[in-house]
Amino acid sequence: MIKVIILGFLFGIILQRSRVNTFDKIGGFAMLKDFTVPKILLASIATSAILLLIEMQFGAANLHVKPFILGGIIVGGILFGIGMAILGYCPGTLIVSIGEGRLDAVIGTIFGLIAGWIYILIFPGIKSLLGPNLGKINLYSGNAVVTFLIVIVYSALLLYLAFFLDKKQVIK
Amino acid sequence: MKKGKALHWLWAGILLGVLNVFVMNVHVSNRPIGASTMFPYVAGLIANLKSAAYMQIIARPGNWELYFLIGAFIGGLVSSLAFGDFKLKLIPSRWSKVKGENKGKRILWAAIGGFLLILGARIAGGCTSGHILSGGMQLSVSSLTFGVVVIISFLITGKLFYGRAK
Repeated sequence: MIKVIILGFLFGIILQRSRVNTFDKIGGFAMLKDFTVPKILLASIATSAILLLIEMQFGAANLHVKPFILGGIIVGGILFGIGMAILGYCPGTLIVSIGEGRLDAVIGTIFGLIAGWIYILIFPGIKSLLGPNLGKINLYSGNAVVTFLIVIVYSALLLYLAFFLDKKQVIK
Repeated sequence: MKKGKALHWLWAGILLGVLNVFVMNVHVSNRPIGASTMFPYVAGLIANLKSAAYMQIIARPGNWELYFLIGAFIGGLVSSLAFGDFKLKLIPSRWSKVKGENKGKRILWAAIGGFLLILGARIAGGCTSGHILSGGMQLSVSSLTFGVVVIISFLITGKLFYGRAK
């Protein structure tokens, strides 16, 4: 428990110090005025994809891929995108921003809890509507060398995109 | 206290990536970072729905994310106090430039946004942390699809809702 709180504490500090938790960065991305959010997401994914592969080589980590439930991903993704643009926070940054004293993040959290409560109630009814479940699939190959190459190319592309967005922002 | 300089995006990204790989370690948490399951978990505890089918499914991840986000809250609080960013504030400055200073308007849209955000995250089974960061790390097809759908929906909503922002 203390361990998980410390992990969250580090998460909160990184988000707070990079300012990526703020409405000005997230809402700013929705207005195409600020690319901090996608740049940090891309850099994080690129770094962790390579490090995770190394960690798994030592048997120190397992994959935890979420199932590909097509209907749920599309419907949920659309609602999530609308909510994130209007609110200007996502679930994790919402909580960090409460720590920063942002009262609109408190409102967003209260109504997020209400949405969570409603989801518990409607879950038995909508569970079957979200399918089909296409399995816990990812882009790894059966061959370890090919997987390594895929991850390297993937991370390089994401980092390239991050630096591309960075350049675009400077020109603006 | 004078405001601290923001952490560079590249460093923030690398640190978040290292943290996620650390959390994934079998000796640490043996799961990736995630946040949105905390919301139905806490709502279910408050509403005393512990025996509901969904609450049983999310009991473990919900509990982990609750403690993780308690830590994130403390991290945000300590760090913002230490670097002079802490401020009790309802209307973000970028919001007021486009939508004005009307408090009721910000409260209404924050409520609608927060509701859709968590409902969407739960229907999709993840959020920016659990799907985009953690699924992206694992080259997960579900998470990469989620990321593309979210970006499209997010940018279209941004265009329609904020218009040509000044």
